[in-house]
Amino acid sequence: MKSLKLATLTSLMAISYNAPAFSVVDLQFWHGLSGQTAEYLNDMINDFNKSQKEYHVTAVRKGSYQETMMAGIAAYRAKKSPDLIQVYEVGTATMMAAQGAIIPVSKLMTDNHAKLDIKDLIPAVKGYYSHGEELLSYPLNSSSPVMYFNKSIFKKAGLDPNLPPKTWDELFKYAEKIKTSGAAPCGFTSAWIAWIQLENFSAWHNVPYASNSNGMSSKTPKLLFNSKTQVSHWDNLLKANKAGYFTYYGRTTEPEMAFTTQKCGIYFDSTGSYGDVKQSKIDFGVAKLPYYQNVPGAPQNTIIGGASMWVFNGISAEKQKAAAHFISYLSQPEVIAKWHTTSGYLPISNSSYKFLKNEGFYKLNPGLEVAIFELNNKVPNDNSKGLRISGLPEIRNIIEANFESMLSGKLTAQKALDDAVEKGDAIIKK
Amino acid sequence: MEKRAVFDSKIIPYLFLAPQIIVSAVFFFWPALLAIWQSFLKEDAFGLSTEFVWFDNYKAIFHDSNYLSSIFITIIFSLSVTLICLVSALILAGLINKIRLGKIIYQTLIICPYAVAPAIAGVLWFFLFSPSIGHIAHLMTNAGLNWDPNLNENHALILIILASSWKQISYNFLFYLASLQAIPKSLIEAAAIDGANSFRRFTDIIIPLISPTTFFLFIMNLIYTFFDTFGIIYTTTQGGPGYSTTNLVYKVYVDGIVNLNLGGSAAQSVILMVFVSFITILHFRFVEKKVHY
Repeated sequence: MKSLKLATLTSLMAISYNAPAFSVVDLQFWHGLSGQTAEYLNDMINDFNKSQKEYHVTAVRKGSYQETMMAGIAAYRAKKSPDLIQVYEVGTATMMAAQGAIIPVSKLMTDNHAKLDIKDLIPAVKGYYSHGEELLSYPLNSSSPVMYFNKSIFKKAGLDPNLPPKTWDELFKYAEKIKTSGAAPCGFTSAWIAWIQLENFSAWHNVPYASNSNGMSSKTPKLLFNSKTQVSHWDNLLKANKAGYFTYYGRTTEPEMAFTTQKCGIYFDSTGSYGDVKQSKIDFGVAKLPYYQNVPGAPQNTIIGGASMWVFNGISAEKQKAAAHFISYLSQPEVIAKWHTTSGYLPISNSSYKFLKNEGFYKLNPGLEVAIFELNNKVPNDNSKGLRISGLPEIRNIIEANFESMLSGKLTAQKALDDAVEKGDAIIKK
Repeated sequence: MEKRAVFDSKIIPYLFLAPQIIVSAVFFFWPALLAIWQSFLKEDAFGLSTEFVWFDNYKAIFHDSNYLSSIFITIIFSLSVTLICLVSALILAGLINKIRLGKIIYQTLIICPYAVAPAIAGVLWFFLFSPSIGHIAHLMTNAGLNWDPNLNENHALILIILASSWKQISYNFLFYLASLQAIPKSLIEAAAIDGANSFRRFTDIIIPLISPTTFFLFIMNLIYTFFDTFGIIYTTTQGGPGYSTTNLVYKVYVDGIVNLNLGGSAAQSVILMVFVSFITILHFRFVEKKVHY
């Protein structure tokens, strides 16, 4: 309650302080970013506001991704929706299902003669937020999971800090060595189990997560993530956990703390944590996700996380025009490049990536390039374009709970995934 | 001569009551009615298609094995927190009531946690007990305890019980201290002269005299554990591992906010409301008779 009051107060203050001149079109943008990343976002928006005199965007932080989406939905129901809203990637199916509540971005751009080069977007990003040829939302902040590793722990364990593990078999051996040599109490850990160790794991190994191209071609796909490849991976994680090489640190930010306090040698998380990890001043490297050599087609490509920006329907023609120009501004290579280098989120267009590469940026910051290699590893196919499944947030919760039950010995890997598929299918049917 | 003031007006009493009634109507009755209405609906998140489904949402709840387990978790959780709060607050109040020096300092220290928001309390306890960086977790591991609230269900439950109690003890303490101070000294002295030892004085005089407070606090603690502990669970365990710390109010949050199942979430909150009202009525009906004012 208190935080709610505070949020309204600060947003009111933001409005009054930035009160633009009378004829300026003001856009309300609700988002769910926090901390340093929210500051970078504000910088980007301020740059836009200063770049011209016709439009003014006001960014309002609405809490977490979940809370932002809920606030947006509640506001829409009360007919007081903001003009723009940031929605996390798992909410994409919900937004798409709400036909009439949003304006597809590509339609908005053509209607208002604003420039957005959709072909320039990285295929994995474009595929995720498109329906056919139509881009539905603007991919404001996309991320992908990577493997972070601690170079000093590698040295202590007698491992080559310049040769991170490429396959899961190698990774398990490395983790064992880190633990048994006493270099660190935890071999490896992972954040976002459902996203990294199942959704991205499936795409990376070219196995389906759900039928109908992971839900892209049907609204009621069947979940398929309990096949042999996924089950054996979870079983390996279970074995590694029992042997003490893999430590599970819960669903929140604890895995990151375990890595930055040098408790763990290897850690899986989003590129979005790059800034935090870097700030901790540990000697670390970033590498591609490992894969199982015996799985045909692996590694394929990873899928994205993060969030995108949606335009609500029912806003005035003036505001639509403003939104189109705002998006057009955001999509410029220099703007994307600055956002990428500060926040760690992906450079979502090929031209922005080239721009940085030509500047020699990645020679100094090779860690930030890893996720791009992963996403562009191969041309995305039906298994790796992305997921479009209604109720995905709920399904993720079930997956995470079942993963915990598996590690605590209540369920086998097979049972944990079978049960999640069964419950998940029931959710999709609703 | 008549000492009481008598007001003839028929309107004034209603005017005096009006602010309370308006606040209750706006912030309690109206949302409660909306929740009841919504619990009969099935709709998509944006409210673009709405269907009246009678009791389908309620039926679905009782076919949800997680719901039944969350009832069980809520009962254990609520009773533990209430018990811990009452006992430790009474002990603390008893101790403070006896000392003369530095009373204010101790009092302030004990009351402090009440000023902390539940979410902050949760974060605080999460940090202390987190296996990766927590100081207390570190001490426990060194002592040979395999502390792991991320995977051990009992550990997780203990963590949220302690965090929730810590925050609520202050509240109980305040009321107990006030009621202890209200006990006439002469009564205790008389009992002492009659040869009652301090234990007898406590059980036969103090406990009955503070029973109205205990009764009141019992209800308040129950309401606290049923409705106000969401923030603590959100910041410490997120309902895990598995579903082992998902109590009723946390499930309402998850189903409503995360899963966007508004009808089901509304139905759950209606059940929760009925349940707490029922306990409260039961308590007033039966337990209150044993309370001496």
